[in-house]
Amino acid sequence: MNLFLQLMANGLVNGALFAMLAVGFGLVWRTIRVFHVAYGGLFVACAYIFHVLVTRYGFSPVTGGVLTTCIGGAAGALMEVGFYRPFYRKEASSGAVLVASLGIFVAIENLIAMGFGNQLQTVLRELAPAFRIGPVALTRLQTIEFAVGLTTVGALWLLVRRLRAFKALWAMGDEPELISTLGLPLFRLRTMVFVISTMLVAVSASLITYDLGVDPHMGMSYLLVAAVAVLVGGRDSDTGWIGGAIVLAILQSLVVWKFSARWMDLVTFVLLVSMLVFRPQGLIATQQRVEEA
Amino acid sequence: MSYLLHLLIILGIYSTLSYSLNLTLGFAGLLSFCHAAFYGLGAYAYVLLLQGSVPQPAALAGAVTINMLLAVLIGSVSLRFRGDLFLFVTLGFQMIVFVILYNWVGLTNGPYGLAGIPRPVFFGVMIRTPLQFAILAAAMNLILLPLLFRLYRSPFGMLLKALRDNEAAAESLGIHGRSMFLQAFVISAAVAAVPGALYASYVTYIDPTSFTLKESIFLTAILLLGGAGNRLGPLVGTLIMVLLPEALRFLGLPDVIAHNMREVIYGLLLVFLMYFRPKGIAGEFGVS
Repeated sequence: MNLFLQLMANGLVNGALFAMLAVGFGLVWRTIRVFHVAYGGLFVACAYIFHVLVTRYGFSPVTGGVLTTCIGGAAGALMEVGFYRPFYRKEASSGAVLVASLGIFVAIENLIAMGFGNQLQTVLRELAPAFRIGPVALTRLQTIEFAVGLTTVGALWLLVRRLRAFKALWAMGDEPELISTLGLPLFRLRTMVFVISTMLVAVSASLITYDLGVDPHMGMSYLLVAAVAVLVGGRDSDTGWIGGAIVLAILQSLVVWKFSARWMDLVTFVLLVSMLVFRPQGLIATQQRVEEA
Repeated sequence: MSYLLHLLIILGIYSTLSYSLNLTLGFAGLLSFCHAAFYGLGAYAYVLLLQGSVPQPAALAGAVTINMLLAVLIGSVSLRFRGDLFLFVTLGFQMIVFVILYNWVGLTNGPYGLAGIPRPVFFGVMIRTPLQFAILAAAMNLILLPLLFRLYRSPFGMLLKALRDNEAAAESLGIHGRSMFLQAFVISAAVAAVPGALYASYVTYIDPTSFTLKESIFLTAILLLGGAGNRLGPLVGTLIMVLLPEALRFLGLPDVIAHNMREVIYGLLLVFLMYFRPKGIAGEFGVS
């Protein structure tokens, strides 16, 4: 029983990290209607930026994380201006954008592998002291991860409901042409989406790098985590993305307990395929008129 | 000399793979990310049947059959979707197949792979030297490609193109879209088993890491770069993608860097092609 509670707690901590990744990915998918494969590349890039800042330039992990997040935001804006916007202007098909985005991902991953080598790199840190809450023990880093994830995702969840700009973003996902007609700044909104999304990926990449280390090829697995959480949770609902991320994280940690970590991916993708087949609207479905679907 | 022959064999394997994927990607217009899974399943099925002391021709036929059955299963689930979701479901199956090959140690020997795969024997001649394998690879292409070309030009190929360009309109003419797509999917998976078996008997050792998602992406990239939906595109793509790292090696780049450099170049090529020429270098179908 204690082990179960411990694994649930670990699952929740991972769930908070996955939720940040999922919201960053889902935001782009919902509002720009782009399958943002380059997200995985941005994850790796941010992880290495954090690693370099902390190990080479001696920044403290907190300052390093904040700096990485700022650089991440700039990188997101660059991504939109230099990459996605030309494709949008050219009215490229969504498949072409997806493939090009995949190309960016492959290029970033391998540029980093060329510069830093293929091996795992860790940030040296002292053993984190553990807290006990009843039968559950969490390291301080885990509690920080959980708190950061919870506040970031929670704040964004509130903003989505309170801020008019987000209303416009959702509308942009449905009818991008309408945005300029309404006198709203289409390209500024698009840039905003990519800045927020890349900042989210930067925060989680910094935390994961500090906790586990980084290698150039981990981008794909975190991209898949984010995408699966979004697809499982429900494509149109941001609450669903968060729910999907938490379900995925808890399920993974239960698989590790009952079977073995080796079967983790099997469960992830069986979950994905069966959700898409049996409940394509996701865990949390928004109500839609028939003609919208 | 044997280096050149080795290149020819690899080219032969990849050309069959890309021409078979061309049927689903180029003609049916379905961006699928699980072709490497079928390539791997073919290789594994062939080797496991051989180890169960099945004669070689029967093992090859068995591998093709197993691939067809699995393709019916995977295809009928995936083909409920189109576009991004089809891509994602096939990607899911690619990951599932990989995890099973990697972890079902009792059957596939897991990460240790299967070694000591017997060389193929034809009419009492054991295929052993690179030259013999190059001839075998050429023979495989000479048998399979004309069959595929025939399919490309047949009414079946035309129907696939019609469905690709406008599924609703084609269905209004009485074409059953899903069953056509499923047939294309199954045929392309069945063909992929043959290069799988050739690869296994050429290298005499297989392990799951040859059949990853990366490999699937690589196969798709061959078609997207070279172009899909006709007979020339896959050839162009295969030549570029297989020969690029070799060319880089001749420029004096060390092996490790040459591999990463190829990936960087093909990633950027994908970006430029999708912007300037979404149909690939010599293709006639642009991803929709």
